[in-house]
Amino acid sequence: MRIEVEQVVKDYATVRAVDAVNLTASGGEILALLGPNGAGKSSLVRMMVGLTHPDSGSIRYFRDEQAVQLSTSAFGYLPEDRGLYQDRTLVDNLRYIGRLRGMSKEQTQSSIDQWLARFNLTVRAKEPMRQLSKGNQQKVQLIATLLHDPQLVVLDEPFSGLDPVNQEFVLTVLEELRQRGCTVILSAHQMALVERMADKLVLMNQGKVIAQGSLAEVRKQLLQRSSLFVEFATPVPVEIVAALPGVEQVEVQSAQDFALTCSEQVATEVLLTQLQQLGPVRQFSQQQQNLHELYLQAVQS
Amino acid sequence: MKRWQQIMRIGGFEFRRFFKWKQELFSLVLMAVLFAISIGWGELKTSLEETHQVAVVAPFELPAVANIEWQAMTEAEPAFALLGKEVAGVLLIEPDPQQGYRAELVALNSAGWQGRVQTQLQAFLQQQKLGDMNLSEEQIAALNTPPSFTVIIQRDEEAASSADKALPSLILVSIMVGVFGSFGLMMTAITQEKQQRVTEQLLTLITPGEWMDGKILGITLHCLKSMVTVLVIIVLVIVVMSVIGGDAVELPSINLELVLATLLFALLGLAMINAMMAGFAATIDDPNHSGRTAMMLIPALFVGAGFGVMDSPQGLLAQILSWFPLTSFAVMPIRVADGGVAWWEWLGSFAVLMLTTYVIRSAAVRLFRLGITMYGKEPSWRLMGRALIGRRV
Repeated sequence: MRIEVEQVVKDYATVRAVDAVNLTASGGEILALLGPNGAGKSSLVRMMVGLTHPDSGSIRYFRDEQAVQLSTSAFGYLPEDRGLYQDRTLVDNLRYIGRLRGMSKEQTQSSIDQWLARFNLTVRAKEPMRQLSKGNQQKVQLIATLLHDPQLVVLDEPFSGLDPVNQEFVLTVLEELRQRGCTVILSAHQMALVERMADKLVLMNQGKVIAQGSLAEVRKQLLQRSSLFVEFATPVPVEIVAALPGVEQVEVQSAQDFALTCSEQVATEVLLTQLQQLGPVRQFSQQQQNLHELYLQAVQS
Repeated sequence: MKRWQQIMRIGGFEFRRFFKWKQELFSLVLMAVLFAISIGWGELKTSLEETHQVAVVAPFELPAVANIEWQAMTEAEPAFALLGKEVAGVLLIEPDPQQGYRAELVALNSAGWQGRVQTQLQAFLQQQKLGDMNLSEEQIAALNTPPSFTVIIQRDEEAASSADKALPSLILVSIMVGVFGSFGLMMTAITQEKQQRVTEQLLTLITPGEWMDGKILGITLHCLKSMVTVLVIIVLVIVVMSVIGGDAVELPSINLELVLATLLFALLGLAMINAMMAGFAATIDDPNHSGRTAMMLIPALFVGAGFGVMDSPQGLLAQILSWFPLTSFAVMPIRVADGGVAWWEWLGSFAVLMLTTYVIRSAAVRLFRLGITMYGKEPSWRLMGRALIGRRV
């Protein structure tokens, strides 16, 4: 299933939560929405699953290149504000959700058995939800989202409340969904995890998309400054290095070693020529910023 | 999937959510014990009461009184010497020229047994007085028999039994149980769902209207079950107590029209009240701190109207209340139980109730939709008013 979001705007009483957002996610892709709290990720996700509607713009769904209505059996949604009936057993909760999704009793039971085994929760099936740890409750929530084998899975903060082991486990499940051809859209704060698995990234701030595409594309869009390292064969005064055009900041590591922060406009080959005029250069390299640093840099600017 | 199938599934889940076998059996046993105790309380109290010794100075032997042991004495002075030590009271009975006899009971403290002794001995002394008057047996019997006063009800083919007279009370008590049940369950169901954050997940599967209708169905059925349980328990306890007491078992005469009318009015009335409760409960964020919780007790007033007109079920006020849709579910069954309500009258009232329930349910869905996804705050009264009348919020 493919989802196309075009020029979507959502206003609340005093704030524009989503501002002219465009994005596309196709089957077999994992699209990650990133952004600080209040960036508009959850508002966008709620519109995608039909809980609220855009004030303008459109959200369309396609199956085999045919526009379709989003039916409850076609998607699974894990909300940010999530919970299940604490006084009912794990199986009761899942059975109820499965039946409301239109699954038959037999289908529901077989799917529950399969997923509980996959998540190592079979022995706890008859326990009330309140007896489960937060992490296990989170797993049951995820099962409730995936129970009916949906083509589109929308997960709002799927890693929150999970320990590193279970985060890895969820990553494995998401990878399986991708391989099955499922469209996965998730919002998250865990950059390192997102960097590892997402096919597409959409970075949002104050309702707007500030960068989107593959990891390399996003990196390119966000790269406002480059970090370079230079090592001279002989000591060079720092003032002379800092005075070079395009160099914004110099961090002195020794009398010969400097870490330079330069504006994006600086051509590295020109800078290298200028540095060689100051003294013999033993080493000159560009430092790669990770997504977390780029994300912070972009949001702060 | 069809809308009614979703509603049935939600209704079934809501019913099972509150129907717990162990609690159900425990409450049945508890209710039966409480009814039995309340009915047999007098007997139980007498059998457990201690026996009081009373010194008596009287010209004749006194009849036995439960839990009282008479200690006959000839002089008053030695009797008073025992007061507070061996006897709890001293009873002096003397002939009196004006009243026939005069009795005086002296005790250190006032207690319940003194009233019983007074009542029973007054009756005994009255008979003694009549016996001393040299009257014939017929004259004494005539004096003891009050003039007859018979009320003849022409409308009834046969006089209503005491069980028949108790029928309206039974119906009202059971409806009250249903109304309080719906208040408690609907409030718990919705505020728990909001607090446990179940709402957002479910609202991607079902519409607010389907969800609310399912809740109304499940909780109304649960309340009907409670009503039937209470009725059965009351009737069973009365039967058991009659059998133990050796009395003839007397059950109210119930006809099909009464059962049908009561069932229909109770079902629809509870559905209407549950719709009100559902809409309103969705706007409550935290039941422990919300000032709006008390508003949910208002439907109890509708049943209260039924108790208010129970002594005159065919009076003008009762007739008006049995047509007024907010009270008809409680008042019309009483009038039908009393007899003399034409079939078209209760069917007409039922049609008005149906229409009102539909209107209230539609308004409640709008309120439910407004409140169910609001966390940490409650909609203002103004916003609720706009939702109720169908304005954009």
